[in-house]
Amino acid sequence: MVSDQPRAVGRAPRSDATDEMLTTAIVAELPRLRRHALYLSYNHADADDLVQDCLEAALSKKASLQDPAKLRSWLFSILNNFFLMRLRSEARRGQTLQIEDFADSLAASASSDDRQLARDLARAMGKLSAEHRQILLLLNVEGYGYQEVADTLGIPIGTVMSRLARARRRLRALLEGHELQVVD
Amino acid sequence: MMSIAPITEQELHAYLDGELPDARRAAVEAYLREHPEDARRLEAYRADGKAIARIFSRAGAATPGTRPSSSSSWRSVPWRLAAAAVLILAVGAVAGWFGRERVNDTSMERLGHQAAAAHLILNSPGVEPLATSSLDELSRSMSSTLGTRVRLRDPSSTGYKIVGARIVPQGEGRAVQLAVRGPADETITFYFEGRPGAKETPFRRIAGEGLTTLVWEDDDLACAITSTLEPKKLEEVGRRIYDALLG
Repeated sequence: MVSDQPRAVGRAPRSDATDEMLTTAIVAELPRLRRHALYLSYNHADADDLVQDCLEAALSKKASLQDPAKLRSWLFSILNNFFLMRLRSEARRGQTLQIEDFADSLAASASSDDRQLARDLARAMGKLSAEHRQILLLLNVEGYGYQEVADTLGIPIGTVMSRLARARRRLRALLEGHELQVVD
Repeated sequence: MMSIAPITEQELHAYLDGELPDARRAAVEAYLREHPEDARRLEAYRADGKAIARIFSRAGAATPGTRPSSSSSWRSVPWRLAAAAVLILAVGAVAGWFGRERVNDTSMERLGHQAAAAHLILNSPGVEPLATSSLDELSRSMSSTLGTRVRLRDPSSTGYKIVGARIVPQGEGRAVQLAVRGPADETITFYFEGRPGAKETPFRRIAGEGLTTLVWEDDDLACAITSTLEPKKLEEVGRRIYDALLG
């Protein structure tokens, strides 16, 4: 019952080097995507699922990527879209971020000097809206400029700037412990 | 003196982020000298940004996490790995399908692609499979996930050991990914999906880039295996391991 050579199912893939290089480049971005997903979702399992969805979409749509130089933005854009979609369905199911658990784990992995800061920051970032957390992570962790943030999130640059101003104000208020004074 | 447009809050942020047009730089700096409270506020924002960069820059995979029990208890055990997803390969029309239902073949093709993507993720930087729980526990988890009774046995007689396992959400259902590692430290991943009514079929190859993926069906199961071995070799080794595991 075993053929001497397993037969191919499906069309032979485009074996061009570009396609293969793109797959390799996508895989090389996985650690970054995983990190971003984790700090967006505050949960390893959700982060894994996000990266999975993102990779699936990226690989199946990679022919639509016009400019390989924009691969990272493109991947982050897909990931952030999935994140917001998932968040909306979780909100419908009444799920919330597990802020305290995550703050504990972040504090535990920080250097002893940073432990309290890590805990405070994890709590404050977790209490921000998803959109505010997104923008602060892209800017500070990924080192994106305004235009890249705008491209990644699919919003005008003016929105990036006003959202960023609100995100910083809100984060500061949370860190200073008087969050009620902030009116957005 | 010409009137200068008032400084906006957004310009203060743009100054902080190095995004301010040069023409406005001097005006913002003059403004900050005259408004020390705004200067202090910007300084605090700058410090917050640095703290975020430092605290949140650790690779996600390396952060010890409490994985709260979610849909399956098993998820807290296995890899910190974004296991994977579909269509790593250019998927196209099914060229040849050996007298089987076309829809079935498409689903096997999809399975193969998922397995290949999962394999790639497992072998990407920063991902390490964790030791798995006992064979009994794995068998129970697999059985309940796949909806069919699975009894795993230790495959070490083949020279391969189980090094990790994970439940992978997949559309409406869930699949199980199982990795084994061989004598030369090479990793082969199995990928299983429950498929009621499935009967044993030959191994077939899914066309792919630099990876070999073989798919087949067994009693109530759809299976895939992926590695960098060439097809014939993978079929030989894979069948041996599969028989030891589940035969």
